[in-house]
Amino acid sequence: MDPREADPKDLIERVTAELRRPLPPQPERVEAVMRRVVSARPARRSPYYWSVFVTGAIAAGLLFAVFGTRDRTSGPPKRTGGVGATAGAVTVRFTLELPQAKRVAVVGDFNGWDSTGTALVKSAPGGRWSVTLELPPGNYHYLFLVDGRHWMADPTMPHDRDPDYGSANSIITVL
Amino acid sequence: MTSTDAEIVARVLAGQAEAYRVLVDRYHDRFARLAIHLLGDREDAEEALQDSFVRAYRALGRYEERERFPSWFCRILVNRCRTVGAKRGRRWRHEAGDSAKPTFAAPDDDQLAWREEINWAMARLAHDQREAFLLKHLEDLSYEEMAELTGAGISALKMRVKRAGDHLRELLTNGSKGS
Repeated sequence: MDPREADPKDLIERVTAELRRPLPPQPERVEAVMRRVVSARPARRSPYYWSVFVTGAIAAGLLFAVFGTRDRTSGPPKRTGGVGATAGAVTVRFTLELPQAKRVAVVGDFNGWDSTGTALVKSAPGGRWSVTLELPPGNYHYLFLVDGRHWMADPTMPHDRDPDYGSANSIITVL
Repeated sequence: MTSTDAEIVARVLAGQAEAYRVLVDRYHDRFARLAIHLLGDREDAEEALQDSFVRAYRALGRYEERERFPSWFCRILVNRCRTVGAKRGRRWRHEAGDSAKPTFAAPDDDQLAWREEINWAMARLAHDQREAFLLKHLEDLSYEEMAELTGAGISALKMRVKRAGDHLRELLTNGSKGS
């Protein structure tokens, strides 16, 4: 029977059946993807990534304890020009106050979203984590990775919806 | 024994990049079909799909085991298709042409003509309606999953799916776009 002659009630089902018709196998397409994957930056595993998520209560406590900020004691970003520095780069300090954390890293456009990130160092005794990076001018999306498993936007910086993954990222503009 | 998606992801994250081939092989054809119907062009769809697999690979450290890999990957692909579709929107409009229903090829092959007619009709849906229709009817997602994936509200998604269905019925039975 001509599918167009179907009862209108069934028409959508017939359209859906046609849309769902399997494509011919295309093993060469899989190979093409893998060639690109091999040349891409390899994924890395965070040591604790696959462990069970903390309970809601612990997570809530963690979130309430967070007071992340750009370091205000260091003044405005400084442009650098010494030997070894990237031309026109600006010194940017990322900080996060999170005494309970065992490890904190910053992960973003500036380090290729490598999930091992750039480690922050904890200053005793206050529990402030910080790291200083030299970044060329531009806009950068980033997140903090706490204890290798909790992704956390910087609460003191603007957020933007990630165009690929749908989650909120922090944004920093280096001038 | 077949490895689960989570087991494969764990192997990749442990350094076995080649294990990713299993995921690509497992989901390529399913998501190629979605990309083709979202974009209406096989080359654009393949480009968006390859980009999505590479982006997913790079971001595997952000994938959380509690989320199903296909759902997570679908979000990446849909967003990628939106980007590709927006870049090539002009060509979409050119291909869509006016609303007059053409005569489809292969009059002796009802199935092929029906397929071409569906592609013609799908090309005439607004992108957000086409996307919602495909996520609902092709991917069989719940409205809650669609809302999570697209960022749109459930009521809006229901309306898009309904309107897409109404337009398709109108196009496929009368050959003109309804309201």
